[in-house]
Order: sequence, then C-alpha cells, then structure tokens
Amino acid sequence: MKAQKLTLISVLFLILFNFPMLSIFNNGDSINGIPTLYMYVFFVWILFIVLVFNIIRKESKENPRDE
Amino acid sequence: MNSVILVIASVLYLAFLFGVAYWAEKQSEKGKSLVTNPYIYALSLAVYCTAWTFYGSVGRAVTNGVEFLAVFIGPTIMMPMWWIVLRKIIRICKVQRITSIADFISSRYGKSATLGVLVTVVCIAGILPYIAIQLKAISSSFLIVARSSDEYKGNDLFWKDLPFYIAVALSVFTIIFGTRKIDSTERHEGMVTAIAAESIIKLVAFLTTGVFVTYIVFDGFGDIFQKASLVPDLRKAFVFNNDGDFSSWFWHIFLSMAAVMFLPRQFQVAVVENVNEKHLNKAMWLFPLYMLLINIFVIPTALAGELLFANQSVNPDSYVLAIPLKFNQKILTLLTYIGGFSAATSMIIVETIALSVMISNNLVMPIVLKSKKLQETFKGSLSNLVNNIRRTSIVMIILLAYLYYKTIAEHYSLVSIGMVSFTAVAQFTPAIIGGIFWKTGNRKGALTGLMVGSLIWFYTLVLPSLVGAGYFPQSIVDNGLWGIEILKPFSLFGLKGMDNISHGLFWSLLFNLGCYLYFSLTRKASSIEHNQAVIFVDIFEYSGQIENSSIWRGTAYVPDIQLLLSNFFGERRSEKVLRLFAQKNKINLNSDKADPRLVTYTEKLLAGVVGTASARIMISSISKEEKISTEEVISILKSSQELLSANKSLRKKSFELEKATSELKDANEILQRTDKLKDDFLTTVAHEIRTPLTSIRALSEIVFDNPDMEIEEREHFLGTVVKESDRLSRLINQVLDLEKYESGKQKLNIEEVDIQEIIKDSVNTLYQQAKEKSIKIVFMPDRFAPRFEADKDKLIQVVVNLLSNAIKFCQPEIGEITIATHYVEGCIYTSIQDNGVGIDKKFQRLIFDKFFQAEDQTVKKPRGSGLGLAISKKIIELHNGQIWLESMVGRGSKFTFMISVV
Repeated sequence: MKAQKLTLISVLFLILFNFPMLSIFNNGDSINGIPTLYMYVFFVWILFIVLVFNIIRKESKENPRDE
Repeated sequence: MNSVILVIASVLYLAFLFGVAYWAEKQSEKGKSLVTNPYIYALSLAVYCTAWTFYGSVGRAVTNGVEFLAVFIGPTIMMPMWWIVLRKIIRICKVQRITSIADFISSRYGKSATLGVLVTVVCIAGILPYIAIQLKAISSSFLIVARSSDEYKGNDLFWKDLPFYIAVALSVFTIIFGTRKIDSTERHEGMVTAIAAESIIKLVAFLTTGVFVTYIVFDGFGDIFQKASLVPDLRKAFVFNNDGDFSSWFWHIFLSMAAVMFLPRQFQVAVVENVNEKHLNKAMWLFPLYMLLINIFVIPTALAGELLFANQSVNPDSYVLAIPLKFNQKILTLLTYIGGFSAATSMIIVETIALSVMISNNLVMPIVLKSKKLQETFKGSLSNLVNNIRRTSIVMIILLAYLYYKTIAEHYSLVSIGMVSFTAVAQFTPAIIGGIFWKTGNRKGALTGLMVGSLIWFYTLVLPSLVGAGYFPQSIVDNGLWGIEILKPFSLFGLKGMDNISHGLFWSLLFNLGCYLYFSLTRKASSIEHNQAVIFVDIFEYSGQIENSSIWRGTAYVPDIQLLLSNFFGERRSEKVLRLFAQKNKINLNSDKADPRLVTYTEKLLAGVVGTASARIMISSISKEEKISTEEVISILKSSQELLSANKSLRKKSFELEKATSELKDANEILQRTDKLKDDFLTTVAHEIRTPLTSIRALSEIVFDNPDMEIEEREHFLGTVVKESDRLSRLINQVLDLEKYESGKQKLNIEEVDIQEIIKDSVNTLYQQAKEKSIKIVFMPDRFAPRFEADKDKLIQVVVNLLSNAIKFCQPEIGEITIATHYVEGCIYTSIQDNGVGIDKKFQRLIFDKFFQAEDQTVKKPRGSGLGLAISKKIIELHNGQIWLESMVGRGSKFTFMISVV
C-alpha cells in the first residue's frame, strides 16, 4: 500500500512538474512581482514535501514496525 | 581579503573535518554510533549538492533561467520511488555484500569481471572531470576572494598551485577515513558524519548569503524581480522561451533521476553506507526539503548579480562570492567561501572513496588474481595489497582530476561538465533497473548496451569538449567525423533542436536500452547469470534464505579455504570467523571436503573485501565447481524458505499449546483446592454438629431410660440438652450466615453509627461473662472519631465475637482486656487486646480461616464454632475495611479492624 501511494506521488509530480502543466504558468505574469512560473514550481515543490511527509507519518503510525 | 587568512581558514576547515570524522569513529567504537540516526543519513545524501550547486546554479540561472532547477526536481520526483527501487538495491547489496555500483552490475550479470571493468572505466571517465571542476571551483573561489585584496600579487607560484595542495590534503583525509578497514562492507562512519556536517555548513552558508543579497542589498524577492523585469534581457529568464526549453527541462529531470542513484558517490552514501532501510522514510521528504532550501535564493542572487555587475566582466558562476565582496562583507565572504569549499570537498572525498573501491575490486584485483605469477608475489599479503591499491588509486584519481582541471576544465563552466558526468552514469540505468525487475536481462545485453551507450556518450559529449580544448580538429564538430554530415556530434543522425546534453542522453540511452533488450531476448544466459537474476529480482522473497542456503555445488577443501581467508583477514580472525559459522550451522570443519555452505559463505566474505567478481575468481581457483541449474537454485531457496516458515508455525503452535496447558493446570489446581476446602468444610461442619448432637442424644436417652431419676439431676441433664441445642442452632445459623457472605447474598443495613456506641453495646452484652471470670475490661475511646455509615448490628457482631474470644482465652482473675479506638487520616482503628495465651506466629494468618481451630485441636481446645473470625473478616471486608492480628505466645493477642470513613 505504502509503495503504491509513493509511486502515485512520483507519477503525479512528474506530470505537475512538466509540460504541459508548466505551460499554463509560463505566461510572463507575476504575483507580487514574482514570476508565476517560479511561484508555481516552488509551490508544487512544497506541496510535494508536505504530501510525502504526511504519507510517511500515516504509514508509520499504521505499521509502527516500519519506522 | 588577505590570501593568508583564506589559506588558514581552509586548513582550519579541513582540520575541523578531520576532527568530526575522528570523533564519530571514536563514538562508534564506544557503541554510540552516529550513523544510526536517519537525519545523518538524509544529510549525507546532500553530497549531491556540490560546488556546481553552490556556484554553478547561479551561473546557469543567469543564462537559462529556471532550467537549472531540473537537476533538483528530478531527484525530488524520484525520492518516493526509492522505497521501491533503492530499498531493493540496498537489500541486495547487504545480502550479497556488494560495495560499489560496478560490483552491483557485475554481480547481477553472472559475477562478470568484464562488466565490472567496463563500469569502472565509464565511472572514471565520467567522474574525473566532475572531480576536476570541484578543484576548479575551489581554486577560482580562492582567486576571486584573494584578488580583491591589494596584497595579492597573482604570480606567486604557491597561490597558483593552491588546488594542488588542497588536492593533497583531501587525498590524506580520504585515505585515513576511507581505507581504514579492509572489508568495505564495514561502514565509513567518520567519513559519513563529516559529510553530513559539510551538508549543514554549505546550506547555512548559502542561505546566509541569499538572505544578505535578497533582504539587505535588495528589498526582498519582489524588489529584485521588479527591478530585473525592467531589463529586457533578464525578463527572458522568467519563462521558458520555446518548446525546446520544455524538452530540455524534461530530459534534465529524467537524467538527474538516474544520477541521484547511480553517481558513485550517491550509491556510496545511499546504499553502501546505509545502516537501516527505514532511514529512507525520513530521507524521502528531508532530502527534497534540503534541495528546496538550497535553491530558494539562487534566482534572486543571479538576478542581483546581473543588476549589480551589468556591463562588468564578472563570471556569473562567482556571483555568490562577488556580491558580499562588493559590499565589503568580510565575514560573510569567508563564510561563503567555506560553504563552497565544503560543497566541493565533500563531493571529492566520497567520489574518490567510491572510485577507489571500484578500481581495486573490479580493475586491479581480477588481474592480480588471474595471474599465477602475481599471486605468488603477493602471497600472504593480499589484504595489504588491496588497501595499498585503494590508497594509490585515491591519490591517482585526485592527481588525474587535478591534471584534467589544468588542461581542459578551465575552458568549461561548472554545470556543463557536471551534466556530462550525469549522462555517463545514466548509462547504468537499463542494466540496473532491468537487472532488479527483469529476470531475462542478461550479461550480453548489459555488456553491449553499456558499451554502445558509453561510446555514443563519449562521441556526443566528451569528444566536443576535447575539440574545444584543442586536442582534436574543430572540423569534427562542424562537419562530422570524416566529413560525414549525419555524424556531427551535436546533431547525430540529423537530430537538431535539442541541447547537447538532452541530445547525447537521448541517443546514448536509446541505443543502450535497445541493445540491452535485444541481446537479452535473443541470447541465452548462462546458469550462473540465471541464478543471480533470480536472487536479485526476488530478493525480498529470499533475503532471509540466501544467508543460510548454499547455491553452489562442487568440491573444495577446508584447508584451502582457511588459507584463502587468512590471506585477507589474518590467521586468527579468519579462524574465528570460520569456527563461528561452522558452529552456527553445525558443520564439521575437521572433514577434509568443505561443506557447500562454507564455500558460499567464504565467497561472500571475500566479496566484501575484493568485490564479487574477484571473490568468484578466487573461489574457482581453489575448487572444482559443478553447474547448478536455476530450477535447482529456486528449489533450494524455496525449500529452505518452506522449512523456515514451517518451523516458525510449528514453534508458534507449540507455544500456544504450552500456554493452554499451563492455564488448564492452574485452573485444575484451583478447582482441586476449592474441592478440598469444601470437603474439609463439610467434614468439620459434620463433626461440629455431631458433638452436640451426640451429647443431646446421650442425655435424652439417660432421661428416657430412667423415669425415676432425681428431679434435680433430670433438670441438670435437660438444661444441658437445651444448651447443646442452642449451640447446635447457633452453629447452623453461622454456617448459613457464612454461606450468605461467601455467595455475596448478604446485604448490609447501612445507617449512621458511632463506634463508641457499638463498643458500649457489645461490652454490655458480654459484661456478665467477664464479671463471672473476674476479667477487667478497659475502654479507651478516641473522642474525635466521627460518626460514619455502617451496619450497626453487623459491627456489634464483630466486636462481640472478638471480645468473647478475648474473654475465652484470658485467665480468670488476672485477665485484662483493653478496647481502644483511634481516628487517623480518615480511618477508624478499633483494637481489642487481651493478655491471654496468645497465638503462635504460624497460625496468625490462618486464624481467619473457617474452622481453623478445628484443624488444630491438639494445640488448643475448641471453644467455639470456629466460624466467628471468618464471619467477622467477611463483615469487615464488606465494609471495605481490614482486620488483622498481632500476637505473641504467652503475652496475649491484639485484634484490630480498620474501617475507612471517607
């Protein structure tokens, strides 16, 4: 189960981090002066860390022997 | 800044590294190993971030915008997959005692020495330039800082050759902490801890500079971006400008996904130095977090550099240093310099250790072991030989890197050379990933794939760099080899529109994978390849069994094995190791022919020292091996697995059975005891009833048989009959009472009572009896005792019982009974003390049992039913209180009962 969840995360973020998802934010606009493309990449990156952290925490709670 | 300060700082920093490593090894000797900590593991993975990250990313961001992030996003995306891919590799390496990536590939494909050599060569060719650019980074960062000072002359030979001295110092460090133990499966704890420390230093240094640039020089992220957006050239860096950018982005992500596992230094820290597979859990989010943090300020720093140094010839690779220098921030400059220095040194140290193991185990040892002459020369000192080869290769690698730096690397930026190295190790992907998931993959496929792939890599990426340095004619790049258009290195087979790296990666990997698949599917694998394939692919099924079962058949002799091992481990240690193994597996070492398990074990031990391929050569040199088919291997593994699980379930069952038996036994014992108690009780009750009954009957008969008996005598007899009947009915009442208490049917009639009143009432009942025996009764009440809730009649019953016992056991005339109450901490203690015969210590606890005195008739004459104390105890327990006895024979007894009033 853990392996499946983690694989899913990898596939999902491979998509989020690539064309064509990136092209949506590749418009030269900016939010508070910061280009949307940079904002998007770093936001997705943080999201990734939080998600993986949560999966690991949950799984290790359910299977304490894995920790 | 004064260059002397820089040198001192560098030397101090190296000394600090030595200190950390030394301290960590000492801790581990004390049993407080630091590498068992998952945070150290995650931090050591950050050896991925080299001087390229530290200096090069900023340079790359200036020219290609966000593209530099791809090499950090690739590993990020890969991290969750480590649970599937890398955990498997770690397990395989542990079971098979594999210590390098060359060993891994060679072992998977039938322990092929050729493959080991090929992988090692690719690694050296790919990684040497990468080490060289670290030296370059150290040297140029040094020059940038030193040049800013007036004292710097620039032509002093010593300063010019600084990288050389650094290289020497690093070799010493690597030799000391990298080759201390001959068995390379034993971990380099000092080295790993030092690397983790370096990871912290480079992160702190980069973040500090980033904060300085962004928030002190400029007014935050928004400010930098706004100012940059006014410059048209810089605006370009905000977005991907054409579709080619997206394609490069993808290929770079893909490339770094492979590199983060297969770079020799990554393989070293992530696999070989891994202590616990569960450390991956923390690393999976911690390592991406580290990469995120170290990259946050890259783009602001790049833009800031461009804004500050517009139209000046400052190399973007050095902005990280140049900005603090420009604002004359001496401490910050020094910190940044040390940060970059640590990024470069950590990479050099780990990479050289990994390469040196490969060179000794996969390049040199197989040659030495295959040659009879060389073997004779080094007989008895093979372990020294291995260590010396490693030491020599460490020095050689660092020196070669230095030479490369001097001759070629000067022409290229940090990132471009790093990417070429990434592409080299990416060639291992088909062989490794195929090797752990696909049993059909074979040696032929891996060998041709790797060979073709690395040739294309060389042609498309390395050759042009050699051309750039002037070693080959420029026409090769411009017109293709021999003037053939489609052989142009940067647009092979006419493929255009990709950047060089993506282009080289695409072609090399495509041919690599194609050859791997084609030859794997068309050529037959040898039996040993099959066997290794099964072990690698199904490692999680068999990892417990491989250790204990032998997948080897043939003839070998114990003395040969002993000799072979003592060559590497010394006589004493090898003998100990063999004896332990023999004991554990019940093998007879005295028999001439060696047990197959012993041979397998020896091979594994040797593999930890010299690699699987060399170990195999040595084993086959002392034994005559027979072929063993894959089916047999599987059946051997399966049967030992079945045996193991059958054993386990049997053990579990027998344990359960044992538990049930002992429970049953306990229950039975309790039953038997209660049964005996009941029997005793019945016997005693019957006996107690019979005594008065007998006397009643006897007396009645006398009266019946003698109608003319004296009236006085008759009255006396009848009086006794009445008394005995009373006794009988009292006894029966008590038995019924007790039964009520024991079955829990007895209910208390709770009201508010006063303990003094209870005692007075009880004394009144027995006053006559006491007076008859002239026994003095003293009452010492505690006037502070409060009223409390209890059943008055039942408590009177208890006191009367205790009092009447006291009267019974007191001598007439001299007897004295003291009744006292005490109120202490919410409890009322009532004691009744006499100066009678007392009770022997061994009976003091039994006295509250039913009919206790009945069992003890020889000691004391029965003077009562024997149920009084048992009933008293029940009553007090019903009030949640306690009753106990203190007594000494000849001095009297003191019964006390305590009832809580709260």
